[in-house]
Amino acid sequence: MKADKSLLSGSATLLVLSLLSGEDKYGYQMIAELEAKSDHTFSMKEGTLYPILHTLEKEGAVQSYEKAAPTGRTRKYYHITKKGLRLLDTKKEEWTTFSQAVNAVLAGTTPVMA
Amino acid sequence: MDAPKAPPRTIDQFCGKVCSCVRFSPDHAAISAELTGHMEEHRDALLEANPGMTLWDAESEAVRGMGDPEELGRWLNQIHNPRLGWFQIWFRRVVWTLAVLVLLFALPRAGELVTNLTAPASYDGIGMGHLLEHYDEYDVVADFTPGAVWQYEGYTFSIQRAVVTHSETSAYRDEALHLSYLLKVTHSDPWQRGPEFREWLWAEDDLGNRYPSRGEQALYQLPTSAGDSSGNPSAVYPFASYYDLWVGGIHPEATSVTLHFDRFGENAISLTLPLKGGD
Repeated sequence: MKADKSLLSGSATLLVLSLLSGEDKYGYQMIAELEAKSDHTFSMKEGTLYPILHTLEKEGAVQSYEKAAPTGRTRKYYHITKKGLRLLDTKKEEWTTFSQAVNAVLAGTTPVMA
Repeated sequence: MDAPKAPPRTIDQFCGKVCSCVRFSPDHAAISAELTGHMEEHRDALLEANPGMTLWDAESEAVRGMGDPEELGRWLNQIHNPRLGWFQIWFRRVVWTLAVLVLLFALPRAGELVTNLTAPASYDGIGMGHLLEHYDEYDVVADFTPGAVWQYEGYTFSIQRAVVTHSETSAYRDEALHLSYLLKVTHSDPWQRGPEFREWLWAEDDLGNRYPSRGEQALYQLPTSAGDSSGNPSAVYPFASYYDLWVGGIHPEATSVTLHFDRFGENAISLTLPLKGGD
């Protein structure tokens, strides 16, 4: 059974994949970076991150592995795969099209399709 | 009556509530470990940013930051499919069980496998084995190991043992000599194997008497009453073969026998053995 579509639709998957495109990260690191980069604009419930990550892992877009932190705590890192990078490109295009359309409506003009 | 909806205050309570909504229990430990790690990271970050904060308050805030545990548990339940999960677990168990069973059956035969690859250091065969077992009952004329080694197109030939016996009466002629010998053939190419000596190695003595091979006898309808050159089944291994052969009905006055193998168009092998022993 697929995960709740309403959870994964929209920008959450795009943001997670985008965060992982630079380097491998663990869950709390992604949340902290998301809040810092968006100046606390994106402040989702932190638990929401894990169904997204687990779904992406099931689909082969990310892979996870465990690594010990300097504190001795074992962290679960996520690594974006080639499939995940292709999905990120698709999501970016969808987002660009969507945001152009929204901007065009707000400006009262006809949207220019990519 | 609905279950109480009091929000969890501790990390353990939060994880317990999440996992209670996930049917596939084997994943509970991994889910709990990942969520616990996240909340502990958050708690420690809060304590570092707010030195006056208590551990209890920091953990409570970290737990609150995760949102509704039951909603999270239901999302995870949709992803952690029990049917697929149990199938993977049982598939792994079956594969491991089969692997262990194969090993248990294969290990006792490992010695046999190695022997098949390397061939034993010595081999008596049926004919030579019987001769050695009843050695005292025979009139042994010579018992020797020729030192010479012959080579031909990658094959190395050596005679491990040769025993010449004398009999007053035999199936061939009234008085005759009988040469029993073990021929070892080694080669580096496992696909090459040994030639079919049992069928095609023929012999002649120094008096000019010919002792046809078993293959020649069948192919050319040759009589065997005047002697023959044949053998018992061979022991064939990838890198070496043993041939338990004989030349029977040898003229009693002959002093040597020459073995020939020319089935493939040339006299590939021509070994002369003295019937009184020696090289």
